[in-house]
Amino acid sequence: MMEITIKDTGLFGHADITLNDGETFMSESGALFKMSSNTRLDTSSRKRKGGGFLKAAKRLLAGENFFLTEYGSKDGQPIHLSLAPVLPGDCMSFDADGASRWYCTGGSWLGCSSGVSIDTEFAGMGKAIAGGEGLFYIVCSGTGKILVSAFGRIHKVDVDGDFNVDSGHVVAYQDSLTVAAGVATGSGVSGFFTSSLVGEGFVMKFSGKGTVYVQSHAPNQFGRSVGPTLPPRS
Amino acid sequence: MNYSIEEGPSYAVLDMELDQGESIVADGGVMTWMSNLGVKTNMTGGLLSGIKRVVGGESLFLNTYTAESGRGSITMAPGDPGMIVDHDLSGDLYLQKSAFICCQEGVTTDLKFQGLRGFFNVGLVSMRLTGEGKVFFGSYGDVEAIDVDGDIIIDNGHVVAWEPTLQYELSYKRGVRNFLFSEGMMLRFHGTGRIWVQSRNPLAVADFMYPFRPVKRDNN
Repeated sequence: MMEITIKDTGLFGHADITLNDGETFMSESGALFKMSSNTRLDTSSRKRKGGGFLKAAKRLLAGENFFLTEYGSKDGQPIHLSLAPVLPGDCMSFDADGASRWYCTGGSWLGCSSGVSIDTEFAGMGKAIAGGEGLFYIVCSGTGKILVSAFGRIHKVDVDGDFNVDSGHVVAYQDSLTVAAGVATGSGVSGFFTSSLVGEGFVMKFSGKGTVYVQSHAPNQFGRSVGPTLPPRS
Repeated sequence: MNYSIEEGPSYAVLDMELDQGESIVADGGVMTWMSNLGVKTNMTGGLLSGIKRVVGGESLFLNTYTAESGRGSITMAPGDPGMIVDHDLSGDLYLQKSAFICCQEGVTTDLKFQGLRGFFNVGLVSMRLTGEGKVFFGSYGDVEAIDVDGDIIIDNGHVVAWEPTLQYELSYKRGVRNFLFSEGMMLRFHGTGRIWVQSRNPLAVADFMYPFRPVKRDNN
């Protein structure tokens, strides 16, 4: 059986994965930082299943690396590999039971086991603004493990009714929930402008029943606070 | 010498007490606060070694802190948030360029040209520590010590330190495509010895920050 261990490392979570013969795991190419030498890396398989250049370009836009890598064993012996996200924060795996799909925001998706297939989906302009991070979601369907990371802490929220999350703080959500983009302050045009003025308040409005994973910090906000202090790119 | 590593593995700092006459050699910039210690700044190993340290990403000077009158104390913190490793050195150890914090006086520091194979993250030059004594180094993120017997493949941005009984060579991820579009460079370490691996890569954070940089505008 595949094993995923996430060491409680305070600020810096990462995932150690053990795969036995025949089992595979997939992640974005940059996440891998340690592996056994009998690990087989397969970047081409996604081309067959996941469809060529356009899909890859979509993944790039979603804030992921251009390429996905699938890991398996070269020689039938178990393999160990370690995956880490970019920013400091939690790492977490959860079960996909096949009953509903999971939407993971661009930078949050870290990987998934072989029973889960992934696709990218355009968020729609409104949701894209509200989502803050990337115009696309990584959509996971099927049965298996999904691995996500967060900037800061991850909280699990079981929604029953109504739940609003500030832009950029969504890690993943179940598609049994209905999602709409909105503003936190008021409604309509005036609400939109109020939100623009106070610099926050773009929210994703969830309703129905299902689970949302949220993160304590928003990567884009961090980028916007540090990035402008760097020398300009040409 | 008494010491403790506090607040790990996220924001580890090194608290140290020195008895009368004891000293510690630390990298410039790691001292955060101290009491009742004398400081001597020197370019250990002379000018050439100092210049090599600058090339290797280290500061030019090493500071020697000595308890000259009674007990003294010093707290040190590395530049990156993460963990601190204490290691009993007996022989040689290679360190990634920015990992070094401090060592006891019985340890000498030098730089070792690693060649182009180490170019991408580890840098052309690694630090080489030789001798007997305590050595302290830091990681970005958490750190794991792995006793290699056989081989293991590690992204070079995640290598913190390794024993010279291990050999390594570049092991590209499969295909040119990987090399061009992701970090692509992996090091295959083999032999018998210990290697320390960190759970985050500073270059990946720089990559993350890149799109947030202002865009240069042409005025003409």
